[in-house]
Parts: sequence; C-alpha cells; structure tokens
Amino acid sequence: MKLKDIERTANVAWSPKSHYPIHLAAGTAAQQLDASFSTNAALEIYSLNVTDPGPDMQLVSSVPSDHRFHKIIWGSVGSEPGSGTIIGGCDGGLIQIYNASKLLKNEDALMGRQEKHSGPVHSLDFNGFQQNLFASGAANSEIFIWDLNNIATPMSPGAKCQPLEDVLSVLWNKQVQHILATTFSSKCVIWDLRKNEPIIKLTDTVSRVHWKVVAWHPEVATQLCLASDEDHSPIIQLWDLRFATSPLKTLENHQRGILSMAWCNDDSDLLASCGKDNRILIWNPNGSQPNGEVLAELAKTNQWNFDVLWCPRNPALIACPNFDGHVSIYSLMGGKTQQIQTTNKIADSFPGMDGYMQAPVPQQQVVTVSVDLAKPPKWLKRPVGASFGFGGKLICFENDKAAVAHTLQNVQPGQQPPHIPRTVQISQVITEATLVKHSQELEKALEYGNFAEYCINKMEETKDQHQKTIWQYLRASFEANPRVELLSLLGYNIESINNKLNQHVGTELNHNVNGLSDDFANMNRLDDFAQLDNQIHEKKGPSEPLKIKTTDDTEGLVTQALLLNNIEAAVALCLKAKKYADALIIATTGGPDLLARTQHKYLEQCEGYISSLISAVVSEDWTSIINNCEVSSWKEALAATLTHASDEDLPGLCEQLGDRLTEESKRNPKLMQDAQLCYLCAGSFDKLVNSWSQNRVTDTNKMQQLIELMMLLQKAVERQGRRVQVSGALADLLTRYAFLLVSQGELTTASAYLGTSHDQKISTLRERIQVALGQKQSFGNQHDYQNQGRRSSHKQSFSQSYPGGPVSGNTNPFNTPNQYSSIPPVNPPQPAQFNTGLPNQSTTQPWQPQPPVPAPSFSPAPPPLTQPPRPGSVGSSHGGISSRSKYVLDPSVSSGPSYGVSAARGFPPPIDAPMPNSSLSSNTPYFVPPLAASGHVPAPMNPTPLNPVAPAPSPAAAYGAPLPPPPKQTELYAAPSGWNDPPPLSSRPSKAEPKPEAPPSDPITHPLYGAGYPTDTYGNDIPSQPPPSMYNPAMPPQPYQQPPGAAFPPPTGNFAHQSNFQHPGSFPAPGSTFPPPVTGGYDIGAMSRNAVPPQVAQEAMPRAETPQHVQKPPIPQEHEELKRVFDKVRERCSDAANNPQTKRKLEDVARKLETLYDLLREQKLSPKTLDSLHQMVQLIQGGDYQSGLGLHTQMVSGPDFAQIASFMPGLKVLLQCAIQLQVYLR
Amino acid sequence: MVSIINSIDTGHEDMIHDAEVDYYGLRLATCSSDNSVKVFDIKSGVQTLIDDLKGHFGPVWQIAWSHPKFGNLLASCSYDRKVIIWKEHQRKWAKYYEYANHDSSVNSVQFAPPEFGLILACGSSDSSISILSYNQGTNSWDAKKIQNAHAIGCNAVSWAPAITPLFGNGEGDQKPQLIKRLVSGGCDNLVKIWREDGDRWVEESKLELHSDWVRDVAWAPSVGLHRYTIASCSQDRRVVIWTSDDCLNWHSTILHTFDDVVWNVSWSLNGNILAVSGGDNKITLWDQNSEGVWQCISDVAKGQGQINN
Repeated sequence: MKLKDIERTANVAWSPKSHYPIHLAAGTAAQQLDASFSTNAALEIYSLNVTDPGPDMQLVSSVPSDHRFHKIIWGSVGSEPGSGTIIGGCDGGLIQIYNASKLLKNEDALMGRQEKHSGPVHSLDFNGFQQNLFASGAANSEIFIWDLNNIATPMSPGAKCQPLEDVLSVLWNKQVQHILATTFSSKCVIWDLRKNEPIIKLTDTVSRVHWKVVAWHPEVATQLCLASDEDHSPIIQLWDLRFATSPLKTLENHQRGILSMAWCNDDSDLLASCGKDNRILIWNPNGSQPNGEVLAELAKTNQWNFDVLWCPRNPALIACPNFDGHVSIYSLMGGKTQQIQTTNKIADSFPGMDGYMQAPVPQQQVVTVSVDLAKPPKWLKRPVGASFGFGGKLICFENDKAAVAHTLQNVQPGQQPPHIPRTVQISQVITEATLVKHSQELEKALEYGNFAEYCINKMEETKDQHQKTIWQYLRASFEANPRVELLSLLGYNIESINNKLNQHVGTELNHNVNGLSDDFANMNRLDDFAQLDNQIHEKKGPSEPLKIKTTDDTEGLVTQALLLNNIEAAVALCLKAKKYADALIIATTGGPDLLARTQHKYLEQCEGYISSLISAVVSEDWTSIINNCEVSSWKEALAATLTHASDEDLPGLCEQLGDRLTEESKRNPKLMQDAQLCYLCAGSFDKLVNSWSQNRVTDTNKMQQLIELMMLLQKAVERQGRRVQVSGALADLLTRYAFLLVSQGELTTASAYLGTSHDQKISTLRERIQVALGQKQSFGNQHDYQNQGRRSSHKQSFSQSYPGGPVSGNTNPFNTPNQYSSIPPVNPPQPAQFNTGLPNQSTTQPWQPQPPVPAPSFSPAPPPLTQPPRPGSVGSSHGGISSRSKYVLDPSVSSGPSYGVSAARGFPPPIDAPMPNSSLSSNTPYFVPPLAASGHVPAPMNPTPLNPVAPAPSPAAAYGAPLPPPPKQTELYAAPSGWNDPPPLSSRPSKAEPKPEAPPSDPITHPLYGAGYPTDTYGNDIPSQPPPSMYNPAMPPQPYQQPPGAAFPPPTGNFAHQSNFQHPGSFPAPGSTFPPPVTGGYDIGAMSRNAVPPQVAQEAMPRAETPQHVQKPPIPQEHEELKRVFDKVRERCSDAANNPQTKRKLEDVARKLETLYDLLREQKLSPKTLDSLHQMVQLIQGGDYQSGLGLHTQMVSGPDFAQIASFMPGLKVLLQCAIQLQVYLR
Repeated sequence: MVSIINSIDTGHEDMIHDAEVDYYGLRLATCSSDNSVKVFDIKSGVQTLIDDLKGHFGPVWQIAWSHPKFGNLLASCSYDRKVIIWKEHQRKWAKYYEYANHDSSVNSVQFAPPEFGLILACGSSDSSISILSYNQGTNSWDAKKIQNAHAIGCNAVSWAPAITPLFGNGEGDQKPQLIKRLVSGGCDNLVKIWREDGDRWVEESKLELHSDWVRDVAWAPSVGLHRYTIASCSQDRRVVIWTSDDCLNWHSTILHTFDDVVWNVSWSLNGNILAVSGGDNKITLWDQNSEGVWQCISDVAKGQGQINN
C-alpha cells in the first residue's frame, strides 16, 4: 500500500541501515522538466515520518545544486560518524559528494566534486563491505572505483569494454566484496577487482534484450538477475555464474520494458521491479514457477516508475520515483488505504507534453485494494521463542537455521524437501533453589512439631535484632505458659517482680491487708451502719463516746443519710465532699451497681496514670489504657494486657495496641517493630503481614522469612485453641508464596500451603494446581461456556463460574462453605487425602469439586471402592510432602452436626472426590437413602488381597443370627482399618459387580459408604449411618468436631479398645501382633453379637494387666496399656540408641510422656484423643510406625491440639526414633 | 537450573512460530508456517498429538489459550488475515469463530485477563488492532477496532493484568473499577498503551525508544505488585523494560543490547523472570537482583541451562 508521497521528480536514495531515523535523499532528476520549465536543482532530505498518519514526508533540509542528478547513493561512511555520505551522479561526468550530517543540519555539505567521467553518470553503488569504496558507471564504458578517503584518483576495474557503450548499471556483489557487475545494453560484465579484469560476460543471443539493470542475489554469491527495458522482451533473467551459458529462469510478467529492479536484502525471495507498464511487481525469483512467481503487484501507477529501492532499515518499505512528479513510498504490508489522488501538473499545464513522450493519462481517483504478498516475507516469520507455563515450565522453540539450510541446500527445485524435525522443548526452570530448600526445612519443622526448637534455631540464625526478638516472642507462645513467658520477655519476670514487691510491702502490711479483708467480711455481715461505725471505732483503739451529728453540713447530712439507710445519697454526699474512701466503703453496702458507679466516679475525678490502671483493673476494660497510654509505654500496656485480659479479649487488645503503634510509626518508624510484636501476641496475621511487608514482599528470602513466621504463628495460635481464618493479607501472602513454589515446579508443596481456605485467590490457585497435578479434571473439559453464561456472574470467583456442567451444584464447593456446614464432607474412607502439618491444616482434596465425568462413567454399578483414594495422594501417603498433607481439617465443617445416630441420617456419606462415580456431581448423593434399603453390599469388596491377615472366611458365624447377609463384610470392614495405607487403591482392581439383588436404582449409595461398612451390623435401626458412626454406634452423640480427618479416629479408636478386649477366637492376644491393617471386622462382629457398645466393652476390659504407679495417682486401668507400650518402645529405643543426641531426644520423650501420663491420670483427655492414642499403641505394637505417624499428624491437626500439644511431639519423636533404630516390639 | 523435561517433535512441516501451554500446563499448542495449529497433551512428560487444526491458509503466527472458565478455546492468527477461535469438544477441536476483518496479516492474538470476560485482542499488519468480545447474551462476538494503531503494522499485543490501581485502595470505597489496558508494538518502532474508555479505545501512552520495529511486547503479570511493568523487544536488538505506577509516566530501562534482533519476550507467571529470544536462536532468562538491576541468570540452549544468581 502507498504510505507516503513526495511531490518531486527526483532520484532518491534511502539512508543507510545504520542511520536512524530513516531519511530519504532526493536529488532533482536530470532529463526532467516540470511545468515551470525550471532548471533549478536541489538535493533534499526528507524524514519518513512514518508515525504521522498523513501522506506527507517532512522536508528536513534542502541544498541547491548546480546540476541535476541521474543517480544518488547514500553510504554509511562519512567524515563524521553517523550519517554518512551522499553521492550524486550528474551530467557531464560530474560526481558530487555531500556530507550527510551537514546536509541534515542544512549546512554547506558539498564535500567534493569530481569530473573524471566523460558523460552522464547513470549509476553508482557503494561497496557493501568497504563502505568507503563506491563504483560509478558513465558513458563510453567508463567504470571507476572510488575511495572516499582519496577521492582524487579513482581506479578502473580493468580495460574498457568494447564497443564503447553507456554503462547502465554498476552493482557490487553482496557476498564477495571484490566482485562488481556492470550492465551495458547488450551484455553484462562481471569484474574481479583483485585481478582488475572482467571475469565473465553474460549475453543472451536468443532473446532480444537490452540489459538495463542488474541485481545480485543477496545470499547466493553467484546468482544475479538482469532486467531488460526492451518493450518487446520485458523480462528478468535469473543467471547463475556457475552455469553462465543460459539463464536459469526468466521472469515474465511486465508488459513493457523494465526500468529498474532491486533484490531485497532482508528476504532473498523478494525482488521488486518497475517498468514502463506503470506497474511495480514483487517477485519470488527463487520460486518454482517457470515464468516467475509474482507475489504481488504492489502498485499500478499512471506513469512510469523509473526506479525502485528497498529501504535498508525497514524492509517493508519501497521507494519509487515516478515520472508523474512524485516519489511514492509503498509498504509491502497490506492494509487498505485510499489511493492519494495526484494530479499531473505537466499534463495540466501542457497537455501532450511529457518527458517520455507518453500521453498523460487522465487522472482519476484510484482506490487500491489491499495488497499482500502471496507469501509472507521472511521478516514476519518469528524463528524463535520462549514462553512460560504453569509450574515453572519454559517452552522453547527455535529454527535451527544451519540445519535447515544444510538440508535445503541439497534440494533441487521442485524436489520434495526432506523432513526437518521441528521441535519444542519443555523445560523446568528452578531459579530459587534456596527458597525450595528453606521451604522444605520449614515443612519438616512443621511436621516434626518441634516448634519451639525451630524458633530458637531461627533466633540463633538471624543477625537482625528485631528478627531475633520476633522469634523469641514466637517461641514463648510454645512454652507451657505463654503469657508468663511473654511477660518476662517484656521485662516482667513475675517472680522477681513479686520479690521486689514483697520487699517493699513487707509481711506486716500483708497481714494488715488480710486483716482488712477480714474486716470487710465482717462488715458485710453488719446490718447497721452504726455498728460498722462502732466497730471501726473500736478498732481504732480506745474509743470515745460517740456523738452522732445531724447538722446540715456534709458530715451531718451523710450521717442523716446513713441513719435512714439512704446509701445512694450518702455516697453522693461523700463524693461531693471528696471523701472518696468513705464513699467507696459506703457504696459497698449498696450493691455492686452502686459500687461500680462509685468507683467510676472516683476514678473519673482522680488524676494520674495509676488511676487509669486501677480503672482498667477494676472495670476489666483495658481499651482505654491501650488507647491512651503514652506510646513509649506500650510495653507496660502490653504487659498489663497479658496479665489481665481474658483469652477472648487478649488478641483484640494486643491488636489494638499494635494498631496504635502502627499509627505512631508514621512519626517514629522504629515503633513499627514494636507493633509487630503486638500483632504477634495478638496472632493478627493480616496486620502482621501488612506491617511486615508494607511495600509488598518481592524478595523471595524475605517472603520465606515471613512465611516461616506466619506458619509458626499459626501453630501458636492453634495451640491457644483458636482457629486461623486464612483470608486477607495472609491469604494473599500464602497465595503468592504458593505461586512462587509452583513456579519452581513444587506443585504439591504449594498446594499443601494453600490449605482449605475459602479465600478466592487461594481456592483458584489450589484448583489450578490440582488440575495440573492431574488430581482433577479441568473445568474446561466438562463445561460449556454457553450454558454457564446464564448463571455465572463475573464477580464470582472462577470456580464458581465454571460450573461443571448441567449439574453444577456441588462443583464449586470452594465458594460455598455453607454448603458444607450443612453437608459436611465427611471423608473417612479416604484418609490419604488429608493434610496436616501444613499451615492451616486444611484438606485440599475433600473440597474438590466433582467434575462431572463423561457419560460413560455414569455406571449404574457403583465402583466398589471402600476407600476410593486419589491415586496420587495414596501413593504418596508415606513420607514426604504429601504425607504431611494428608489429614486436614476443614474449619467450616468442624462444628458440624453431631455424630448421633439420629443425625447420621442426614449426613452425607463420605464422598470421595476422586471417585469416578459421576453421580457425585449432583447433590443428591449426599443424602443417601438408608443403606438398609439398598440392603446390598457389593460382593467385590473383598479386600482379602489387601489384608492377608484378615480372615477370608466369612465370619458370618461370629455375627450370629441377627446379622443378616454379608459374608464378606468383615473383610470390608477391614478396609477402613487400613486407613493410612495405600491398599485401598489396590482394592480397585477387585472390580466386582454389585450383588444381583443390588437395585440399580441406587447405585450411589453403597459405593459411598464403601461397601465395607456392614450396614446391617447394627441392624436396620441405623441404616443410613455414615461410616464413622458405625464404629461408634454406642457412643453418645458427640459433637462432630473433627470433620474430615476426624472421621478416622473414632473407628480406629474403637479398634484399639477392641484389641484390649479379648475376644475368643478373633485375635490372638491383645495388643500384640496385629498387622497394621487391623481388621476391625472382628471387633465389630463381636460387638454386634454381644450388642456391647464400645464403652461397655471398655468397662469390661481386663483391669489387672498393668502395674500400678506408686507415687502418683494411678493411670486409669483402661489406659495402662498406653503407658506400657510407650514406655516399652522408649526403653527399647533408648537401649538401641547409640548417639548422645538420640539419647537426649529420648529423654525429652520421657518427659513428654510423663506429661501424657499425668493427663491420663487427671483424665483430662477427650475420648477422641484417648481413642487415637489407643489406636496408636496398637499400631506401634503392630510395628506400623508410619501409620502411627500418620495418626499423629491427624491428631495434631484435630481440634484437640491445645489439649495434646504438650506431649504429642514426644510421641512423634518416639515413633521416628523407633523407625530409625528399627525397634519393634514384636 | 533449566532442565529439559520433554522434547517434542511437533511434526510441523515448516518453521514453528509459537508454542504455548494452557492454563494448567497440561496441553501444548504450536503453530507453524505450514498453516497448521497442533495441540498436544503433555501431561506427565509424555506427549500425544490431540489434534491438528487446519483452517488457515497461511502461516499461523501466534496462538493463545483462553482461561478454562470459558471452556477450552484456542485462538490463532495467521498471515491469511484471519483470526480463528477453536473450541474443543470431546478432545476434538473445531472452528468456533472466525474473524476476517483485517486487511493484512494478523500477527498477534492474546486473550484478556479472565476478569474482563472472554475478550481477544488481535494486532495486524494492516496497522490496526481488533478487540473481539464475546457477548454471552447474544452468543456473538463484538469487534472494536483501533485504526492506525501502528503505521506499517502492529506486531504484538499484550493485555495488562487485571489489577486495581494502588490509589483508592481505601476500604469501604466502592470497588475500584478494573481498567482494560493493552500494550502494542509495531513497525513504527513504538510501544503504545491503550486504555478502554467507554466504548472506545484511546491511546494512553506512546513509548518511544526503540529505533527499529518492535517485535514483541509483554505486559508482566502482576503478582501482588501494584506496579506496571512491560517488556518490549525490537529489531534494534534491544530489550526495554518499562515501568510505571500510574500507566501515565513510564520509566524505561534498557535491559540489554543483544547481538541479534530480539524476537520474543515472555514473562514468567510470577512476573519475575523474563525470557528473551533472539534471532541467533539464543534464549536467555533475566531477573532483577536485590538492587533492582536486571541480570542475565541463564542461557538456555536447546532447553537446558544453568542458573547463575
């Protein structure tokens, strides 16, 4: 398309490639006249001005010239660096040399004139390699080679060609610097300047050609094109000097003689030509079409274009001077534009007058259609690229030019090109190796549970004083009495202060104080003020007779009030008289309300900080202290708060103090650090994050530090029994951190940090990770945007707006926590998916939306999976990150309905996300029809292969008559016992059809329960009970506190009980040699037969097994087993331990165990915890320490954490030691 | 460490011009001068060709994946002046929408951040930029055009992340409006920032520094930073990092002047690493050190490289 236009009849030259911005030099063309017959001449420079939308080019400078130009060239070498040299060829053999820099500045730029030629200098060309050399051609076969450094003495490339003719063009070879092509009307002569002689002459005797112009191939040194301006044979011939007898190819399309031609330096598949047919054509001279491949007709003009020039810097641009008095700039890139209307001024003035005797064509508006090259130019072809993908992937591709060229070089035209492999590389980029390392350490610490130790290490590692302090404070949170520790960090060591106080106060005062309180006690008993008065007087010693004044002064009035028992008035009078002590004492008799008011009034009138303190102590309102104290007294305020505030108020108050400090920190930045300590005490994640990273943490080290802090703080807060809501700044931080881990390819770890928060950012990222890990189907796969359009709202989070398809109700659980509180996703059969140890101990998987599975998987026969685990998570259930991320709690469900039998009916069955059962995608499956109704248990559930120990033969006998059908139920039961083991996965292969009687109509129900739950164990009375409750049938409905992860402990706990409960023939000996997958079936069977609920069974347990402890109260007998086993393991470990470090660890374990025993003695542990502990003992006895660790993780993620935090680390270390030392009780 | 996971012979019969993985990193799309687009499943390091999309009649320059919330859509643009949006249905891809309203090669396509809806920007050699928005109500695509965005042609477009400006961050205020912005680069050597203003797109900034065609522009994803960062690369062998706090005043830093033209710049998803691909087939990774100075951290050759921090 035509881009720009200059109204000049001029020979032009583009500025060289190195020159920026692009300019065009235009020298008034010789042999041309305009309407004014002016013979003036000028050399002008125009700026391309491409960004200006109009067609005009800006005239930068203009110098008049005495001579008109036949040819101009612009080279990059000049006396001054930068702009180069412009050379013009003129009539009479004149060559003018201009300094382009000066020209651009409109200064006198003419550097030299040489008149060595004899006729008009038609052609000029700069050498591409030595830019100081240029060649010129003129009449009489004259060719000169000039050196800009020595312009006076040009040299000749060799003897003049005979006969003497005009040299029509000269052109340096593009590849070999000493080769020069020249054309004469009948021949083309190639010169070798090293030899100073012509090395080849090309002539075509077949066609009647007149070689006007030559063009070298930009890449192939031996190829050139010759164009003929002969109207009878307006052809371009492609020659190869290696086969110089005839042209390789003839390009035929011009209808009249060709005036100029240029080969594009940037794409050798592009050759531009213009001719007397007014057309500008773009060819592919390398194309395979016999007559030449025309890629585009760039323009059709009204007059001849007498030259065509590629812009060296912008290969899409071509300049064409035209005899109609315009120089046009065309862009090869398409785009429709209105053809600029031009008028032929010569024609206007002198109709019929025309330099080349051509009748002027009547001007008309021509609308050009957009012209594109039939084949894209090379410069559009991106050869190389790299992009990033989710998970730190780098996707690279490149065009191996060398290989391609090599392959293609040997290909003859027309031949099928050989296959070149076009490859894309996908790589993993890890840039933050340290971060990954630190992150792993943190995870380990979180898993290990030695938080205080971690804090101490951090404290020691860091050099930053503030950091040290922070870690110190954090460590305090893990001490037995955090508040005391914090106080002492604040400089208030309770003991030393008490000592100090005692010194000052002395015992006597103490005594008095006691006495006083006695008095008060007495006082309360007095009915009569007079008596009180009396007593006081008595106390004062020898009393004088008392006269009661009833005058009207204050005292008298008070007396009167007292006499009439108008306490209020008496108080008021005393206050008025500033007899505060009296007022307060009197008020005590007036009831708490009056007392409070009196105190308030007193404090109001008192001044001084002490009174504020007293006020706070009395009113238990610390807000005023916090808000009003001097900022510098923040420590005192914090100390007071720590001392007095209740657990509920403490965080708020500390936070308030922190806020104040933050506010003040604008004036005194140092206070920010103190504010952080307050936030730390408050457990205010958001504030701490914000304060820590006011300018957003970008540095990954800092982010890691902050995360470490946050994770530990979270643990600390959880230890206080508070739940951590991940939202706001913390969610933001976690998301960024997780995303950073993702970018290092640590997807699983990242997912663990994300927990189960419902924060939109978090759930979006979590979903993305899960899909990327293949744990979940992408939304895009299952859903149709059109459908979704109707209900999705853009404001909602992604997950909500990707409905999984027609039934989307439960596909977006992320955003609908409510849904879960009513329908807690109990997930017992899928322990492997729970996460612990990680930040918010949340589970990721249970929240997974159920992607609707393609139709085929809607099989009426439910997959008989008792523990349909996500393969990935099961596989990784041991050790490593994923093991840590197994058991997770979801806060939103933790307060779910109780476990009672009655409630159970409404319970969702333990739905397992990964189950291929597509029916899950609707809500209905959550409400499972009573199992009894279905009354079938798929036979396939036989887990025998999994639990070889499990008695394969049907324990039907054990069940007794009341237990109806399932012969295999016991084995099914066994499955849950393997809750921590991969076996469930392997149970898959045992794909069995549901029993014949299984009604196909309720396929949903039984797989959800995992057929393993023997519904009929308890008779039809509890038909729809969810599995967990099955295990605890007799348990009183207890608050269902520990939703997903918690589902396990109850059953397992019962197992533990059962193990103590010797059942004839079911197991060997109690607490002895169960393999880890304890086959609970026995117990259940036994239980159901005996109809003994667990508790009863417990009571019935043998009591004499354990030795009694002398010093302390005895551990309840049913828990003796715990002590026995734990101690035994510890002793064995201790014996086996061979390094002092381990021994020390075990000593610590002993201490922690003692804490446990104490708790047992005091019966301070919840039944759930006890159950779990028993189960752990069982596992230990079975030698399955891994499962024990899993259980540990599960326990510490439970709601009882605060209760058990004091000893659980000890159990963990114990288990780890046992593993490490290979200690087994068996 | 840059370590190769997978090397995929795409089977393309001509140069590859773009390779992009989807939102989850599970599928790879490639496009080539052989006029085709290929989609591979690359889950777990094994690649399977899912489909070979034929529908363009010229080299396909660029491809873009939509956010999965809109379904599995893939946009491709070609020298044949067309933009095609492909849609997957049961692992088969079919033409979903074709936009043929450009007058020259369409060089760049990119989907807007999903927050804005299903919107596609296309940059063309006809010097215009099209913004195609899917209208759910009518199940149709509306096209807006920025005419004369870049003289001689637009080479690249990239969307600004959907972040809210730092100002007006005050709580309780009504939610700050998300503003749609685009950056484009073209043959006029310019980098331009466009902002949607009502139903028009206006040129908000014009960044002049490059002295040759701007080959690629990439607006950095903003992970937690209320700061705008753009990378541009050019035929002038330079990569420039542009930063701004308000999208009005831009500060430029020349990342580096390379030995060859630079074709492609691409940010990591965190926006902290920039991959630069040059005409000499050199791919380098850059990040900012703690002093904020850009440094080359890796030379990637055939998908492999070391990380030097």
